[in-house]
Amino acid sequence: MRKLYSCLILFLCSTIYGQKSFNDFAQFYPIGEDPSVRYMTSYTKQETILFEANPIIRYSLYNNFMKGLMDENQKHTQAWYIAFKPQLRMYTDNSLPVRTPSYKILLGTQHLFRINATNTENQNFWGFSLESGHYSNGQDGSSFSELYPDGSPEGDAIYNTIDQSTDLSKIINRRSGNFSTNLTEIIFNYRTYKIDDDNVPKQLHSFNLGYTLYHNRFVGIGNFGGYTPNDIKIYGRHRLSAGYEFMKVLQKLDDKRFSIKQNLELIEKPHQSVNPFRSESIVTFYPFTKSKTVGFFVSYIYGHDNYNLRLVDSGHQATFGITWSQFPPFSITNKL
Amino acid sequence: MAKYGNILTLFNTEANENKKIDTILTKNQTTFLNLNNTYYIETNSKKNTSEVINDINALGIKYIFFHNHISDGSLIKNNGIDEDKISKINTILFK
Repeated sequence: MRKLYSCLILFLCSTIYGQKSFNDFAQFYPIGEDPSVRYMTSYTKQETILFEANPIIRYSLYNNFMKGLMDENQKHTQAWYIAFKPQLRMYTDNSLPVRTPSYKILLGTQHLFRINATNTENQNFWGFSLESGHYSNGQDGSSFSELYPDGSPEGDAIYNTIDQSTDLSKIINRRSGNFSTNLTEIIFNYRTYKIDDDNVPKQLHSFNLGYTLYHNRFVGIGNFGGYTPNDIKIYGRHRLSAGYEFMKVLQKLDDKRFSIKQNLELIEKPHQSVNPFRSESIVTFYPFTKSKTVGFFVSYIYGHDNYNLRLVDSGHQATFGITWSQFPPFSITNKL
Repeated sequence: MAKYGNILTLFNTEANENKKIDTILTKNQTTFLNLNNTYYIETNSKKNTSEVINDINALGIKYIFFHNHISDGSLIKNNGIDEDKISKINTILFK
């Protein structure tokens, strides 16, 4: 209980400190996914997806990315926040249900460090993000039967019938199957910008390397929200990720811009029927110069699904939709 | 092309220094107004601003140059200055 009070007081102090600061005006996050709403094709014939929404919300405790990056002398910029990352899919069944929505609630921090550039046209940074928290879909049914509740003897007995040759995609409970784990993710990022005459990026190369660990205790302490021994054999404990993004501002098109992203993920030792690989290729066009965050994208996905329990599905997906950049181009140095 | 408002104040100015500043500002294609050795200067970009400063530095004179990075919400207060001049300063610095 004392630990809980300490955490609460630390949280309140951080919030009050943040509210006094000008920094809270603009909250940018250079690392991590962007919110989006998209149409997507389905992996399996068992269900048809109408659309998917990823409304990422970050409650800032402290964020000086905008103010700090505009100051050439500031070598280290950072953000601390609580992230709420739902992932919602609506299906085309009767009443258009949203099935087994994902919820990630994470404590997070991101840091960027300015690297001295060798010439005045470049601005280079390395950084990292660290997030830890809970990931589940809020369901109480057995993962592999609609008939039994999660944790019941009957529901647990089904795991005894699963071996490495079982096709899990055919037997998962798509209506109410439980998925739950705690996780910690670290992503390292290197980014190099070319800037224009106003110090605003006109070109970007960005590289990510990430590692995600599924663990049983919430942020390594709280004994709740973890996985069962049976489930973790299916999910796999370790995930590696890599990503690359190229962004270019089209100065001949009134500073509209486009970006090309390639994201890869590899799960170490999941169940045999899970495709451990996932690749997503995304092309985004940002057509509004007065609203630089809004973009329209198309993407192609190959590999396992990333919608909680449906990681047992795999194949090809095509998507298109709207996204909101969490780190649009703005002046990243005040040098003259 | 982004536009920036800047304020240049000269100290202990000799007669021909104003002419040199005028020449620099004209050469760098700025819009400006000089009031009592304080220049209100509109530059076209940060690079353009940098070129103006480099040229002024080369004169070796005493000055303060203020570069306005974010102009939204700024305002000017004055007393006893001609309204037309205030209007022009507003245009140079903020519009």
